[in-house]
Amino acid sequence: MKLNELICNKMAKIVKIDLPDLKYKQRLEELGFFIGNEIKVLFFSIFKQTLLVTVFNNCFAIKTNIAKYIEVKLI
Amino acid sequence: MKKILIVGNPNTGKSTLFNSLTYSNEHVGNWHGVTVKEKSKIIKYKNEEFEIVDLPGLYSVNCFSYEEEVSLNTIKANKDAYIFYLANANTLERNLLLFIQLASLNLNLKILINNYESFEKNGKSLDIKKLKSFLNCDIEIINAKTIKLNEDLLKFNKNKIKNNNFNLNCNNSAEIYKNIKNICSNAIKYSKDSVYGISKIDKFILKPYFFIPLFIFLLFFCLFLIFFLIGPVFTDLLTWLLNFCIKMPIVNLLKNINCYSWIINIFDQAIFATVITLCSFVPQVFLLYVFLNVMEESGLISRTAFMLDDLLNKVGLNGKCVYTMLMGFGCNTSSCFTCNAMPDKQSKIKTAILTPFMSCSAKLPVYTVVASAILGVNNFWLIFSLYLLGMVVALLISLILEKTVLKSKSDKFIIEFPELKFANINTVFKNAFISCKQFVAKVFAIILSMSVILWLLNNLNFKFMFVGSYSQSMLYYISKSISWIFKPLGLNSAGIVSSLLVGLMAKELIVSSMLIFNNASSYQFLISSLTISGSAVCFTKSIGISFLVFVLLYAPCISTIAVMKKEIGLKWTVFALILQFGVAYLVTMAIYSIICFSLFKLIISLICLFFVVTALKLISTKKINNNKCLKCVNCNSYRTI
Repeated sequence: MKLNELICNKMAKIVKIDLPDLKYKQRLEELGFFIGNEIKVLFFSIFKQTLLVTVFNNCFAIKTNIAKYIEVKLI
Repeated sequence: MKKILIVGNPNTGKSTLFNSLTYSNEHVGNWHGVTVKEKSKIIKYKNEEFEIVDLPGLYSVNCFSYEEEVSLNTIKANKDAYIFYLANANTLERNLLLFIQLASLNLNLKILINNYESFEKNGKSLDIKKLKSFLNCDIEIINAKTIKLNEDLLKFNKNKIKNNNFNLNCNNSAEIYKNIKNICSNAIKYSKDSVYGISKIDKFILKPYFFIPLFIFLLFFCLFLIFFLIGPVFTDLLTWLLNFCIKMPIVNLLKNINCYSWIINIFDQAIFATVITLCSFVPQVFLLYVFLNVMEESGLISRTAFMLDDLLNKVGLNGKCVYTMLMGFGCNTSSCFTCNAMPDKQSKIKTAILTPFMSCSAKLPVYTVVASAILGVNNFWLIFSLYLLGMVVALLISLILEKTVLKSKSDKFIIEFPELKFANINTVFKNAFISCKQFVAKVFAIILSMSVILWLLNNLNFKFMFVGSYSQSMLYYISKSISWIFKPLGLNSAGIVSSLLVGLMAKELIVSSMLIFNNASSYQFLISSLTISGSAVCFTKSIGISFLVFVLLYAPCISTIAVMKKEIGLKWTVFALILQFGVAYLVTMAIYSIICFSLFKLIISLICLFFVVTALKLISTKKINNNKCLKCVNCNSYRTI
């Protein structure tokens, strides 16, 4: 399941990050988006193009076009 | 002299710590990326001098933006410096990543943990001893708002972290995080599950159909307070006070000692009228900055950026531009600096071009004076409409730029959510006070001297002889010679054209010039003189509205232009100026023609707008063709620039 398909407030685990831009992938990992880490979607924006997620006890707003490269598994 | 660098992730309180240690008043805010350039100050402690340097925040040593590079380069260039590594207790795990990366550079590091109170409130506790033994580094819990330089703070041990628990050659952040997780699971105790950055209130306000009306309501409410409810009362009071206590005694004294009449006139009309009129707007400027600081300090700007990101994407903007745009309501010049936080060059250029469309505090006196003159006390709706018009025009121009010359790269919006909290009254008032101080300083430093020059230009002819009236002055002839340009906008009076010209230097000068041209010695006289036919600057309702729209949209002041040149280069600054003049001209012409029911002018302005968009489209097509890969036939790829 892609991160942007995750239902709000359901805890999941990151299983794969397939981002083609390696520099950006590295930045995501540095912010806590790494394989095995737990993640939860809190809110979606108006047109569901941006989502608010919590990872590593922090909150980040990220775009759907990034979230679709992050594969997650429900816990 | 020993150098102390303040380093850490964004929004951990580095500038607050810098202010506390150096007794400075640098701008701080609850938003990542408030500091975009390094700041330093030398202080003396026990007969020893220390240079304290505040660096922009960075997440890791693998830089991702300009300000991160600035920080890392400074750290690498000062390997012998003491480094205060400031960490937010609430996000300690993530903050430790950068610390571990920096430790591998063999630096003199000391961890300072900030925001410990809110960490404890969230039901967590930290075992400092355990953390110290794991990291083998000095750790101190501080309150960045109150701490002062002391002996304990300056005790540094050369870090020996490389002998300890980490594999520092590890570039894989996931591996480092595994180590951090192990450490923190021992050192941090959680008594309840909570997420930093999100509060219960967020669950109510972060609903799409609730937040945007709430944001518009907040803006409306703030402007209502500034321009209608509270602002005018204080403005009138301050005008009366300054006139009574400063102006009248000095002018009377000059008259009593039989001073030359031209000297009395300079003091009366150029100096006192300008200073008192502009200073009387300080309460309104103060309220405006209080609103902006509350938005910033409470964490509402991040929420606005998140909620508006989708809408802004539709017109080719990035959610992060919300901060720059909102700060533009205060001062366009300082907000242009924050364009650096944009993720790509196109977004940065676009944001810098669009920021001057936001009504800055310098335009506030112009709006109040002209709107009061043409509409009396019921001027609030006109002023509110001007604020909205600025935002709408900025969005439309962004859309045109996106479709033509400034197409954004794929959007990689990512922002960290700061805590939503009650704005600290002290910080809010302190920041607003500093901004007002800058406003008053500008009035005294630039506006005052410019007003005297303006007064001379208004009273001298080309032979440098004193003339009795504005219609014989050199400024009149200069303005008259170009006034035909503004005729389609209804602004062809020489006085109005002169005001617009001097407004290029600083927008505050527009009011100052009106005072001088109309020989008005106070704010009240000016308002009444602006509707008297025969005055040098005279407005009817339609001309007044046309004038305000033009002032809202035409080029920013000279200091903003200078910052734009520095941030986006000469080519884009010239483009921005031409665009702003063009847009101001066309929109004003369209609005003026609607007010005057002139279908002909409306059609002309729409045709002109069509030609401008077509021209931009042609330029962008040419640019794309120039960048096409020429190596192979039928290749649709583009050269990367």
